Amino acid sequence: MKILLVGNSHSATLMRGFAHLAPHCPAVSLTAFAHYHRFFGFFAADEATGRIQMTHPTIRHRFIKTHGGDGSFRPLDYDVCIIIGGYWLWPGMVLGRHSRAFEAALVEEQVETMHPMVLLRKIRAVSDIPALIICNPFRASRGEMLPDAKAEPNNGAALINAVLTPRHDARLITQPPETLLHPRQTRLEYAVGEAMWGNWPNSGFEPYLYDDMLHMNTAYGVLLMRRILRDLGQKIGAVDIPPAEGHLPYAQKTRPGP
Amino acid sequence: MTTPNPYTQQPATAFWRSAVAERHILDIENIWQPRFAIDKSTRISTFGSCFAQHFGRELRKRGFDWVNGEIAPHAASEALRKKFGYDLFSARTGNIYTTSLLRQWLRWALEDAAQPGEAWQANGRIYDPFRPAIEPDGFESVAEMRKSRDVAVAALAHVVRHSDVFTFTLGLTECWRRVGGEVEYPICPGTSAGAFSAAKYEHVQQGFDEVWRNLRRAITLLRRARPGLKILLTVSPVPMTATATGDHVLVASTAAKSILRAVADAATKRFDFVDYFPGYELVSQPPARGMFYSANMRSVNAVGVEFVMQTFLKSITPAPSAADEFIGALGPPEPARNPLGAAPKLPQAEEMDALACEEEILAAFGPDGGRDA
Repeated sequence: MKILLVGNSHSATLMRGFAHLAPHCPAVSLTAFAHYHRFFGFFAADEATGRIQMTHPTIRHRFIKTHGGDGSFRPLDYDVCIIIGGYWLWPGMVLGRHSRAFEAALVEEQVETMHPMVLLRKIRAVSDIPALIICNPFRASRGEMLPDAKAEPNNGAALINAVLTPRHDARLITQPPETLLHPRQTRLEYAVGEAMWGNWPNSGFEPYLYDDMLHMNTAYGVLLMRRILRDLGQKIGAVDIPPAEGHLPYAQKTRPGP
Repeated sequence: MTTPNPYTQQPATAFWRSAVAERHILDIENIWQPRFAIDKSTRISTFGSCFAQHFGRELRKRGFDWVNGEIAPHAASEALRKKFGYDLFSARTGNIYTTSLLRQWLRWALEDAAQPGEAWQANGRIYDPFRPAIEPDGFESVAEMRKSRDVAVAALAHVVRHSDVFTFTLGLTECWRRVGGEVEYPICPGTSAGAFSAAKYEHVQQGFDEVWRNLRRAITLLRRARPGLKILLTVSPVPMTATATGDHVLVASTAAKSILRAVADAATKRFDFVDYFPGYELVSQPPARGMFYSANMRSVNAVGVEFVMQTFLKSITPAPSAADEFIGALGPPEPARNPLGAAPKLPQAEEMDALACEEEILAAFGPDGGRDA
């Protein structure tokens, strides 16, 4: 199985997770086109060749550097596509607080306007490969709770998928429940924090944030990637989950050096 | 022995010629001296007629602490929020046109008074008789409608208890009520939804006494729930869409606005914690020459809204100190650069017209089928 991953800085955790899992699923390969922030708008679909081109010179340069060729990719060369990026969608809504009509209108609006759709529409112009969409993880709890958040099941993703899947043949993948403190807050172990962008130029293709324990958190990536691979029908043996250390002081983190 | 007559002691603002006739409307000064301080740390809530939507939105845009009791999900677009009545007022009450309707809402929110079980239907959907436009396509059930209104009622109570200044824009004196009772609707039943029945509903033209009595009672409820609450009244400069009095709509509208203006005046004279901001005068009176109205001579255009807000802001901002004046004398600062290089864009009149006003549906029943609505 060949997986195409295109995404923002949060791609890093998934790439690290896959690297950890790869020995346990040798039939799966992953090719990642990652860059930080929002850049899907710079892609252009070439329907004649079936390729997706990057039009932004800096980002294209990075892709050329890491993948060779002209930095473009052809979705039909892959079995499945994972798109990572964008704001949280469904969780901003406390279900039951609004009318069903409002929920439906919000879901409709979110499906059509979420950032991954910018890329998905271009991919759909040249291919019909299955697409999985992953949004940025929630902010981590540092002891405080969101004032309007309740610890209750949130099936907003199901509402999104009820529209997204039949209409765009894509599926929203939610954050692994074991990484959540409650439906809209990440456990501190998986915290995004102390992000410093200074290492970007030296980081090759991999988004790499200094001491950012979510972008670099292998444990988070393993949990998420293992679930995705299993959903895709891959058999994965027993895997040790690396320690999640977002809650530890910097000096105690067993993180890879920059 | 004679003494100078009182007019000799009056300031220039007391004389029409110096205060109005010899000035352009945009140069009129000192039209309002606030009774209480309002700044960006003041928690302000806004309710009332359509024009209150302008006021709330502009306060929010300008960074004031606008109290919002029913916050839409952050992911919802502005258009979606507006469509479903979020961010228009400090709670999703819809337009509260009359003082009696305000009192009704406050009784539900602050006295836990029983709400009528009535629900309106149209096209198989359920509409809230007291917020008929809050859900553009209606609710799926009566239970959902009631639950939604309960949220709005609770939000209104929260807003009152957490506001420093409660702003209310008086809009209408005509209303529709259930025959033999006090239950009041913001719109005539059978216009946007529901079915009209002369046996069930009656048109009421409130006079000064009734409007004033209901405002006093509303103020009592507000101050009981939030001692120390300041109240800022405005009168909507937006004329009526239609009247059911049999009078010419211009006459009916003038009568209504006159009553509302008089009630606002009475309130400021009776209560030292009530103030009146003269947005109505700024937009509707002769010095404005109608320039702040859109082509339909009813909607207030973007320039009018901006003028009202600028006057409001100027009035609540303390006079510049000597140091400020010295700095000012050095010359104007370099204008802020627009990063896109384009001139700042004033909102177009059409954009500003897009208020959510239940009352406007009445235009559809006119001879031209609502061409103006």
